[in-house]
Amino acid sequence: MDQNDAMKALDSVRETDRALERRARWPLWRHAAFGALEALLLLAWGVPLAAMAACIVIALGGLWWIVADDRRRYGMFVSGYSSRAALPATWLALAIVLSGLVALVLTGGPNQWTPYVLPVVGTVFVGCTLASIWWEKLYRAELRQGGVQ
Amino acid sequence: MSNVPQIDPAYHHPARLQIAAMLARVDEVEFATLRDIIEVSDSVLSKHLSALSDAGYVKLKKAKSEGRQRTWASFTRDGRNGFAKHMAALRELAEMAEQAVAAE
Repeated sequence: MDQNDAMKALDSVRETDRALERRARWPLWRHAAFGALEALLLLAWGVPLAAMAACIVIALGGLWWIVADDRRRYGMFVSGYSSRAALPATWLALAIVLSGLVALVLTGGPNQWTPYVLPVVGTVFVGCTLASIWWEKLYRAELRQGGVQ
Repeated sequence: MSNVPQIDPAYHHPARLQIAAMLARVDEVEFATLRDIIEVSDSVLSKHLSALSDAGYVKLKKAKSEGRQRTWASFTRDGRNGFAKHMAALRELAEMAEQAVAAE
């Protein structure tokens, strides 16, 4: 392979990235579903033990459904860790959930319902939904610009 | 020892490079979606996916969905590492070409 072949090969990789970028769009409800699952996982720590188990089962079932729906609807699955450029959004979502967990523990302890539970869970829902939307923007920008693979 | 960047022969064919470029951006992709994105025929895609699978670079999985058997492709660890090295070699070759042009 000579240098010109290398440049042509890099162009074809960029073209593949752009073709994927044109498809890589997720609707608002999909971002909100991610936010709701994260919020539900957090809610599990702010409710009595029996309700905690129900929250975790529903959240894990929801997670399975999202993956299955992505595969069926888009013919592919892209996790939060698939894109190096979009990792800051993944870390942000994780930080939001952990901050919410710390807030729940500090304001009432695990498995204790307090007036703070719903505001904290609501904040995590909005924060994780926005982080998911940001993730898509970073992912698509990486594909558009042909970020290093 | 040569200073020429070492490209990976498994990714030399343009279609295989495009398959790898796609797999590098997703966790897994279904056959028809991959075919539509890289714009090749079913038989060409099937042939190159089999070659990459035989090389240990791609994992192929059959799964039933909506009453049909579908093939899903994903990178193996070797495939992902090999592609990263191949891309680094391509970028190095391209930079050498640009430097040669600039020097003229």
